[in-house]
Amino acid sequence: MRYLPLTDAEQKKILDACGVTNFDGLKKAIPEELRIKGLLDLPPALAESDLVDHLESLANKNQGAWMQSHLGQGSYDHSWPTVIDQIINRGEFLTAYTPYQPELSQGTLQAIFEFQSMVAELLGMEVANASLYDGATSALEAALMAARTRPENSQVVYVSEGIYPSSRKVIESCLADQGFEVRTWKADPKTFLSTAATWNGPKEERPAAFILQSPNKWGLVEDWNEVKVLAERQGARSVAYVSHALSLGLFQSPGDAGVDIAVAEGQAFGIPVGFGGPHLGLFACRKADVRQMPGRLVGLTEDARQQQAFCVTLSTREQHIRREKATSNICSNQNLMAMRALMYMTLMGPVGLHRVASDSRSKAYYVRSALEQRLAGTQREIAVLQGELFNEVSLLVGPLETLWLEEIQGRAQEQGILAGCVVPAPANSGYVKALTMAFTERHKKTELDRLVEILGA
Amino acid sequence: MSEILKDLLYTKEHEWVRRTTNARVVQVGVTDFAQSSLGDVTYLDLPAVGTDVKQGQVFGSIESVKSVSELFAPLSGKIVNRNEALIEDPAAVNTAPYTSGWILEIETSDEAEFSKLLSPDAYANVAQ
Repeated sequence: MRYLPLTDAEQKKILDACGVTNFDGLKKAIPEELRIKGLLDLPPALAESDLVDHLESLANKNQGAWMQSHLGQGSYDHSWPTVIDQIINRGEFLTAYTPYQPELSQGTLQAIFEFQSMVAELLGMEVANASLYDGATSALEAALMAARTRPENSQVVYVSEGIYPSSRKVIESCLADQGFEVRTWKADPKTFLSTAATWNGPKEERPAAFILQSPNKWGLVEDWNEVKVLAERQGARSVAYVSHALSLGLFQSPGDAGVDIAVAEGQAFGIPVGFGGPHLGLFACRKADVRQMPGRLVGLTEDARQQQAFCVTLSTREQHIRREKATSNICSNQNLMAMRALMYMTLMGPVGLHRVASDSRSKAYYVRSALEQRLAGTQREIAVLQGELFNEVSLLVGPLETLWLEEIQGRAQEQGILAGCVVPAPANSGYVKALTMAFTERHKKTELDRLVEILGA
Repeated sequence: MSEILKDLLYTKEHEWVRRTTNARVVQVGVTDFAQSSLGDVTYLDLPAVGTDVKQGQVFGSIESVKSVSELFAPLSGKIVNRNEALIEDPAAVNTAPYTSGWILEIETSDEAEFSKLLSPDAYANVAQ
C-alpha cells in the first residue's frame, strides 16, 4: 500500500473548501454529549519495530496457519503464481468495482469481460456474470432464478444430500423468507451419490429447481447428467454447483452435460484460504435466460466512433433500476477476488489448470490407497469411501468408532496436522460420520505419509 | 414540445390508442413524450398473442439503457397482434412512436371503457 501524506497547504485547502478554519470545525455535526472528552485510554505508543514484534506475537497465536492442513469443504490450500500478489496490489485493481462510467474505466471493464469469458468457457455455458460473493450465495441465486423462470412450478427447491452443510444453510436461510421449501435429494447409501434414481419425490411434482453439488461433501465426483435428466423429467430447472473450481480442469463441464444454470466456488483460483473468506462466486447460464440472471454483467460494444468499447450492460435487471422486481438484491460483484481469479486462469491456462487438478487428484488416490492397505482385514467399523475422487478422501466411521475419530484428530493436531473436516454420512449407509481430507499440489509425499501413519494407528 | 396526434386517444401513462378498420380492434403504442423521456429503447417485454389484458393493469415493460417502465393496458380485451419487428429492433419506438413504432393490437371486450381514455387536449395537460 502506498503512503499518501497531506501537506499543511493541502490540508488548509481542504478545510477552506469545507468552510472551516481547523479540523475541529468539522465536528460540529456531532452532538456535544457524544464527543469524547480527553484522550482514549490506550497504552503508550510503541516504536515501530516494537510494534511489529507485538503484532507478530499476536499473529503467531494462530497455530492453524502453520499446520499441515487437510481442511476442505469449499476452501482449499492451493498455491498460485507469486506475480498475482504483485499485480493485484496496483491501485487500479485494489480499489476497483463494477464501474458506472465506461469513459473512465475501460481497463477494469475489459478485465471483467475477460473474466466472464473465461468463466463461461470453463463452465461450458454461453454467458457468465461479473461474479457473486461465493459459491453458496451463487447456488442460492440460481435457485431464485430457476423459480423466476418457472413461475407455474411449486416453490420447492431440491438440494443434493452431498451439498456442503454451510451452503445448505445459506440457501435455506435466504429462501425461507421468500416462501420456499428446501428439500433433500437423497444420496444412495452405498455410493454416496445423488442420481435421478435416488430421488423419491412424487412423480407429478414440479419443483422450481434441482441443485447438484460436485465434488460433493464426501469428496466424490457426481454426474451432471443426473441432475439434467431428473430436472427435465420433472419440468424443473437444473443447477450444477461446482464446489471446487479446479475440478473443472479434469471433469466434464456442467454446460457440456446440458445443465441449465452453472455456479461455482472460485476460491481455488488464486485466492488464499484466509480466515474462511473472502471467496468468489461464479455464475453462468444460457443466452436465453440472460435477462433473468442476477449480478453485474459487462458487455462489449461500439462507441459513437465505431471503436471497441466495454460497458456494464443489461442493468435494468438490477435493483438500483428495477427495484422490487429486480432479479436479485445484488448489484455488485466480488471484483478483487475476480481479478485474482482472472490472473490465475490467465497465468495457468488450460494446461496449468489440468496439471494442478491432476496433481491434487493423484495425491488423493495415493492416500486412499495407502489407507485401504492399512485398513485391510479390519473388523472395526472404519472404511475408506469408494468412488471417483477429485482431491478429497473420506474416512467413514460407524457409531462405535466416533470416539476414536475424535481421538485421532486430536493426535494429528498435536503433531501439527489438521486432518480434515467431519460431515455426517448418509442415513442407512451403516456409517455415521465421515472425515473428509483434502489434498493439493502443495502437500509433499512425506506429509501424506505422516497423515496415513497417524490415521493407520 | 412533444407531438400529440389529433386522431388518437390517450392514457395518463403516456400510451396512445388508434381504432383500426376492424371495429373491435385497436392499435396501441407509447407517445412521443414517453419515448423522449425514456431515451433509446433497448428492449420490450410483451405477453404472447392470445393473452387477455385488463384496462389499467400491467401487461409488460419497456426498457431503455438506464430505466425500465411498466406498460399498462389502455383497454380490456385479448392481444391479437404484436409488432414482432419492433421486438427485434425497438428503435422505431423512438423514431416513429405513432406509426411503425406501434406495439400491440387488442381486440377490445368493452366499448364503455373508451370513455376512460383521454382526448388529445386532455392528454396535452398530462404531457407537460
